[in-house]
Amino acid sequence: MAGQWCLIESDPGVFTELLRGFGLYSGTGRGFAAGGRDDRGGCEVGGLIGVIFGTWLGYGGGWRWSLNAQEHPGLMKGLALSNSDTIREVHNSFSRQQLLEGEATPGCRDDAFHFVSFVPIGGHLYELDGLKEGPVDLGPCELTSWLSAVRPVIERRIQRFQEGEIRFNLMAVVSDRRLVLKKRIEDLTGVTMDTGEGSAWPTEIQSELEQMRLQIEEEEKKLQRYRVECARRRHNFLPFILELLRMLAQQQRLLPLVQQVRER
Amino acid sequence: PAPDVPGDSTIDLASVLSPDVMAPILSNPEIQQRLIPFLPTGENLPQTANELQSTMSSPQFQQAMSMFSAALASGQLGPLMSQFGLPESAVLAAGKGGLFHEK
Repeated sequence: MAGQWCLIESDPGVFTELLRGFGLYSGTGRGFAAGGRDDRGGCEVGGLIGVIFGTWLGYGGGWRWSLNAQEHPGLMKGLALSNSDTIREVHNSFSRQQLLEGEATPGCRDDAFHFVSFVPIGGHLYELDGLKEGPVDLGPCELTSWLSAVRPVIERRIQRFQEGEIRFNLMAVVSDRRLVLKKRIEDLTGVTMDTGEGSAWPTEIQSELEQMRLQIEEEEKKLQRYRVECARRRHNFLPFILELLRMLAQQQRLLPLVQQVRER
Repeated sequence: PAPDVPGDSTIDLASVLSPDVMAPILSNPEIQQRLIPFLPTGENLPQTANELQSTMSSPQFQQAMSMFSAALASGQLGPLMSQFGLPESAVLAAGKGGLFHEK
């Protein structure tokens, strides 16, 4: 039996934490994900897996897995994915807050995103779409220039979304900036290592190093912000809200506040 | 049963208890003490008054309030409200499917 999949938000913070959850936190994947609204809510999962695949594939792993998925009929592919406990568990840990069991969540369908990802693998540009049978080969492309190959494809897609008034967002899976910066610091300091202490380095190198350290700090702050946002997404605020209302009601403040909004 | 509530008769709590409205209320230490235990916990999530303020201003919390309002308006929360000791008038209103109706 396939387990339940929840809806998650289309947000860079959520994706970063998702990839961390899959053990890809230092992701070197180079994928693009274009998410468009689709009324088949559950189908977001397949496309989302495409994004993760894209990242995986960028690693040089999982290609065979993906080809196997292509051989499955659509339904089987869906089951194969939903039977992957790890993927489901990490995915579901981003469950949107549910205040009550079986609660009707208004606007839920509107918020269902469907993800499509584009990845350069083995000299070809592929489109991975959860609603399609398997990867779609968009033609040959060089790894070094794949961004210019994918741009027109994405632009055409965006064009279509705009005509259909469909909300979409575009996210890129990029390397962990901290690793890139740390590597550059290593390269920079390695070259001048024979001068000994850091203070002996030329001023311009020192200021460049300082710049990069600041950028790493910024990056840490951003990741920290993502983590806090994710903790808030996962938190059940029902007890908080009830306590807040009880307190305001006890102080006779609740109804006047509601009244104020009514009169606006 | 679907409650018969005209669209404009419900109020989104997220707009009633907006960050602007809440800021002066949250400056009261007694109120802080009562709410802080209900904050998300975890690494780098301090249980402080600052965190309380920033949580209540966050889109995630605002969304939770909107969802709560919607559930309340649909009449699902009546029994829950009384269980949590909310005033009878509010419970009655919630049970009727209206959010804090004056009646």
